Amino acid sequence: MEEWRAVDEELRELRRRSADWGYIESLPPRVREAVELYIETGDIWLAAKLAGMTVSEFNEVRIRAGILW
Amino acid sequence: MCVVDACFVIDWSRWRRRDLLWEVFSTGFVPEPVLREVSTPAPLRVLREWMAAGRLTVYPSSRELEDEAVSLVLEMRRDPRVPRIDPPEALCVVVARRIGAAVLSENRGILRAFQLAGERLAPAVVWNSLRLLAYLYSRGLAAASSFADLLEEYTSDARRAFSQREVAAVAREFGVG
Repeated sequence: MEEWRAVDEELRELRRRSADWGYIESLPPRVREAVELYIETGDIWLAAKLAGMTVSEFNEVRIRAGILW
Repeated sequence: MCVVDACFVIDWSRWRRRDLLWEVFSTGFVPEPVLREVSTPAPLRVLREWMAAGRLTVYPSSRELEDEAVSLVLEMRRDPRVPRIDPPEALCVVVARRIGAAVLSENRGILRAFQLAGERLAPAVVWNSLRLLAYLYSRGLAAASSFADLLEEYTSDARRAFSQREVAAVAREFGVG
């Protein structure tokens, strides 16, 4: 459990650091909130649903936002 | 046999050597609700190619299957050690339990549920792309000068990186470190 917490924190920090926040700020509110949810949780399905997108559509946003993890 | 989740297919389909999947599995299923999550041209083209080649087919959904998936989500939520599992991943597990297949998913919840309580998911097993790449490399099916180089190639194509802690653990487990 401790190892998993460490992995989650490592990935969350990498998502935060790699994100293009200027791009994220330019997104419509619903999509912006979804990207921030993804950065916090790494849960792409939930983030896609919040954005009102399919998972593959949201994945394109993830890549454009520079988030690799 | 494998059951593929949307997040796995979307990343894996970007990899230049994606067809190596079929060196490991004879056939694959994509559950109908999971298929609906794939809507962009590149992964759809790969799904079409795999379907045309007779590798992949659609597993039809039903109210009964979807109810069982929701029950699994709720069952796993009662275990505080298991991170959240979303309905599409649960549906993949329900299908894989029925047919004795491997689930391929990047969802951390379902991967950890399998590691913690694999007996509740049996006979399904759950792998992510990292484990599949380690397996391909360890069996000599994916040639590369090193496992790290293979991961770099995958990351570059899929635009998806891995936790260094997890890479180290999986490399130890498969003896490819």
